[in-house]
Amino acid sequence: MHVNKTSRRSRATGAVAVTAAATLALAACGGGDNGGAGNGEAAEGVEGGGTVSAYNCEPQFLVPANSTEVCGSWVLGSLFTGLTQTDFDTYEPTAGVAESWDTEDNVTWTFTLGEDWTFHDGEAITAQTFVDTYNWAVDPDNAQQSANFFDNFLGYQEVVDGDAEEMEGVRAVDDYTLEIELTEPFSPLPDMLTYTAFYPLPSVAYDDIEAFEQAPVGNGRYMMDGEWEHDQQIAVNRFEDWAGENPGLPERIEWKIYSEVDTAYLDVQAGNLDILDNAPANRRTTVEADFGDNAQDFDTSSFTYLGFPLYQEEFQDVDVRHALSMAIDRELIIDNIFDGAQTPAENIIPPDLIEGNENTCEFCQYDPEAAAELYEEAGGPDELTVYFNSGAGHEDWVEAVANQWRDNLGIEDITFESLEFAQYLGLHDEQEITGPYRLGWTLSYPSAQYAMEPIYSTGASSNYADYSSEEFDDLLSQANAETDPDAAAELYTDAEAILLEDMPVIPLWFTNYQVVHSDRIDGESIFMDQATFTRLEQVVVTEE
Amino acid sequence: MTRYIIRRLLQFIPVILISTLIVYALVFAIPGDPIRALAGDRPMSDAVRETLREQYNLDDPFLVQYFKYIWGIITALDFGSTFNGRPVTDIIEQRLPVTATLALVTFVIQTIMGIIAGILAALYRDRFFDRFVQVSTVAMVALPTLVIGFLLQLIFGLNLGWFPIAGVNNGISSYILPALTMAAVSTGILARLVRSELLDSLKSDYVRTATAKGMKRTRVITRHGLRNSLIPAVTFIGADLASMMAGSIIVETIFNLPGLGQQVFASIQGQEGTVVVGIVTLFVLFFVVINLIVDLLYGLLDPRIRYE
Repeated sequence: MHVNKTSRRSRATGAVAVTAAATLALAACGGGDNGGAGNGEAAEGVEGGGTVSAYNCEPQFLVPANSTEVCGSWVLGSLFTGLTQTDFDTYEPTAGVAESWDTEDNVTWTFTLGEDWTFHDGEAITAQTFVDTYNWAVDPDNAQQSANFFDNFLGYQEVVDGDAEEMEGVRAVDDYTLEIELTEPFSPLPDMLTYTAFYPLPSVAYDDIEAFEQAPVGNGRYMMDGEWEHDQQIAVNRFEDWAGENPGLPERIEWKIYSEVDTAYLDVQAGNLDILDNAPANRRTTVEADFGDNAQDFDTSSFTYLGFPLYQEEFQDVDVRHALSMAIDRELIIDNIFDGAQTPAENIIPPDLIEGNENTCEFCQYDPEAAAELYEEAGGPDELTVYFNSGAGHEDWVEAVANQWRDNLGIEDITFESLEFAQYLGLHDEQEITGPYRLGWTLSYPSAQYAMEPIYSTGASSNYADYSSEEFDDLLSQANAETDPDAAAELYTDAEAILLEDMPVIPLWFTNYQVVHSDRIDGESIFMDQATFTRLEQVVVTEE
Repeated sequence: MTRYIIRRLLQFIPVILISTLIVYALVFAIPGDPIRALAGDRPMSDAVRETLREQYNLDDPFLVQYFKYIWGIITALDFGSTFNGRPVTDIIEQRLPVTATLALVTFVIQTIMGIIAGILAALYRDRFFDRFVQVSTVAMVALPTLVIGFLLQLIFGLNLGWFPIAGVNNGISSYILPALTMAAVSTGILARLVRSELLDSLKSDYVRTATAKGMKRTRVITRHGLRNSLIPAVTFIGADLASMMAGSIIVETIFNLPGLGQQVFASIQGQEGTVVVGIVTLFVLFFVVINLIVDLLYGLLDPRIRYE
């Protein structure tokens, strides 16, 4: 039986009006419940919490501001706690190292830090800790990949250009008061600060960052047990002096690093491994037989789309884009190629977010007749090249989409251009794409702003479609400036409606992850968040 | 003899230089910017990208990059590092024992099983055991390594639970299934080779003479039959041992053994030229050394072969 946890959870739409202050109150009385689904009250957990082992891939980096992929970020999420954390019941920011925060204008933010936070080595955490960390992270000499997450901090550009040593916008007012000043209003800041790039670093990190990376000293629920055993495992133990509200349930987490997901799947089946967070697609049909109740599905924010190079003339007519979208039978492809492992996207903002909505996207509905008519009238191109990156399993569905275009729109001549990822990204950078292209997006932090701004706002870093809409840009900056969360959510939704109408990209689907686990784990306690991280800190281990 | 060995060793230098140059050129020829790919869908700021490209000499022309690399090795024994800053020597140090153990276990399994099966098949020619060897070796040679690996994992790992499915945490038993997978093809070939060679020599004049002189059968087989049939077998085993490194790429990946093969695979995907070259150089070295040993073994097996 596969229970869809995320849809069962009560969805907070619009009605959740919480100011920063109220969030604090909520966090304070919410107490021990940081979990989405069925939490720690399960009495059958072993004493002390036990050990949970989980599949992971080999991280690229274990330095917070340098980690951009899931393998590393997942581990770092247990080792570190940022200024804020996400409440997985509501997907709102809640207290982390910062007990509370306040802003008048969404530009200047004041964070009041808790006073008993320390790193695993005992070093106290103060406002200065964050000042030092953030400045270190953006210093180009340190080449941290996530440095550009700070690009709306006042003084970021000066540091990058080498004109300043420190960002003007990050200041320690006193030991436990941190002030962050931005270049423009940005309401999702508390959400953004939950992201990996914003975790604090202890002073020992600056001495020798490469040595530090082998056994990062953090301030999170868990601390390293020994070093990062490359390609084998990373083991962490619960940090008993953690200053936060709800410490981790398992006493120990062991990430076992595998080069093949299939092998990990067999190991869970044999009981050698507790959790595999993403059963391979080719196993979908046998999961039921192999695992029965020990498998669960989760919707995530992992979004797949086909973008249009709007810098090419033939895609500038919005009718052409609508027709191409309406000619795709998403359900059919999901059933036949993914064995149901995706949820058709009728949104740009993942529906589970506060700002997510149920309004369907008019032009995402499969309607081959209308599509053909529209395509004909608009004089859509009669030959297409479809781009995707090779070796990542996109071949089958891209071909299925092309077949539907052939059948439904009569486009006879469709060719494919599949390239290695590095080269593929290079073509995008150079604007050398001549047809629809596949790309994906996963939320780093749960905010509608992050689901849209980096991809669709004029000149944004991931705006490979070269889309530009003044109206959309305006709505987004209004939303970012809006201090009332309700009003902000509404503005984000309005902005999304423009995207669904203009369709710079065809929304295809949100990936559905299938978590399989051993008999040692209480299945009810497993929860995967929107960023595709299984929250290991709240897993209940039932046998040693 | 000594002069021969020294001459052969000196030949290593150009072989290694040329092969590293070729490998480096191949990795260099993969299109796209590896630094760009590091960050995935998310773009990296120009400042960070420039710093990294500079750090890894990626803006230099190919030959300059190559010479900087070789120069680093010659002057400072610096074999470079991965794009995440791990020295290649660390990686080799950590992974070499895994691959070496795998190769050793495989070598032992395939040599013992192959030779014994070949001898028995020859001695019991056309009987049940011979037929069994003939059929099973065809299957072993014909099945892709990947399939054999998954089958062994399913049967002996999952269903019977005799051996671990993955990883290296259970000592030598961790290596049994991967080694069996890797040994399959060679065991099959070796068994057939030994069988036919032994049958040939058992029919030959000197064996008949020896038998006629009243020598014991076991002695005839071991001293006269086997010794002469072993030269092709040694050649094969040598060549096979040398090429085992390539086989380790697939086997280490499916059995999740953190060895050199798995690393080569990952590093080619990540366009990590320095890592690929470092490990491939090691493979090449291994290959030429094994070949030298095989050549020297000929002399021991057949005194008519002499090197000067």
